[in-house]
Amino acid sequence: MPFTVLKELANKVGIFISHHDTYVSRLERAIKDGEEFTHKTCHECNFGVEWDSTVVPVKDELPEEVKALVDEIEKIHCEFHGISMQIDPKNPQPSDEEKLNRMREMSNLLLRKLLALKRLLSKRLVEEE
Amino acid sequence: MPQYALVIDLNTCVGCHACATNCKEWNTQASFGPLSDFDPYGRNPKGVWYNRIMSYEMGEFPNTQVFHLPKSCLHCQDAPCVPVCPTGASYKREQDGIVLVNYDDCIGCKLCSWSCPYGCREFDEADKVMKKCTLCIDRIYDESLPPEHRKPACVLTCPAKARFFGDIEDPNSEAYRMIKERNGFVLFPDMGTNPANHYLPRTETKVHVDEHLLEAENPLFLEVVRRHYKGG
Repeated sequence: MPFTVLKELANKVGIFISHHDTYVSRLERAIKDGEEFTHKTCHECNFGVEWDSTVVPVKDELPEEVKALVDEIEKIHCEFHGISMQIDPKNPQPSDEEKLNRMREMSNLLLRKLLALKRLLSKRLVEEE
Repeated sequence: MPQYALVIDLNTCVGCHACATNCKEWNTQASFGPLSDFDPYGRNPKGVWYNRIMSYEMGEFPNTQVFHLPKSCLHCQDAPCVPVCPTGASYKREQDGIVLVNYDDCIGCKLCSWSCPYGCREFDEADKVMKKCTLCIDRIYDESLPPEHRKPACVLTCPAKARFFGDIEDPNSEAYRMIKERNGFVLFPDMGTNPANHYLPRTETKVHVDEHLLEAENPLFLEVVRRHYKGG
């Protein structure tokens, strides 16, 4: 795995976090205001588009432990979107609170895994330098 | 819903740092202060600044330009720093759209600084909490101040009058008019954060120089005039 690719991935982690939290912020605002919200899948949101264009093409070249973490992040991210899609801000349901809590849990987990990825990549970069 | 914001004219900003200095001066002594400094007069000074000015050089010599980008919290309408906060310390006020941090609830985990794509969060190593621009909320609502002084410190101090403040949702506000009339833009619109702060774009200034002026003997003068004449 080229050093520059690992470095680029490490630098992108902040952007992934920003994309995801912006999506959550927009969804939570829509829920609060009861406004229409266009849900996106884990491959359509800004995070997914960026991830699919930068991480997925190099995934098979990544060191095993990094690849395992990347797989885990993808799974959590898609699970987050699966849960969030069940919430319709224009048509609130009593079960929404539970789904929201689950969605927030997945979001926190995703964040922790992304930070773990950053740490792992930084460690690798130090080792390779 | 009102959304207070800054509108910054990049065409007028000369990068003098007066806004940043007055911001620090006001906020270090007012309700949200102090803003810590470490080794301020040493080789590696560090500290909390709500407002920072980035300066960039563009083009190649001799046709270069320097432009300055003052940057503070953009008070995004879909602020990613709010949902990411595990304690709810980071919040957006409904009445004016200002994003604030409740220091009593902040645990200094820095997640908000990870999520902010603009790098506008400042961790105070002395207080161990995250700090950021408050749009001088302790000035703009202070009725003991004359109405013309109820503006953020950076706006009041700008010697080039490059900064404007107001409700960007109110068609009667100066900020709203500036954005509409001068094609105000936001940073990283693709991020979807809908920043409230806007920038007014730079415009190229063409200077007409009479032919006889180009015959001056001073070579430096000639060079400068020639560059202006070409619009460089």
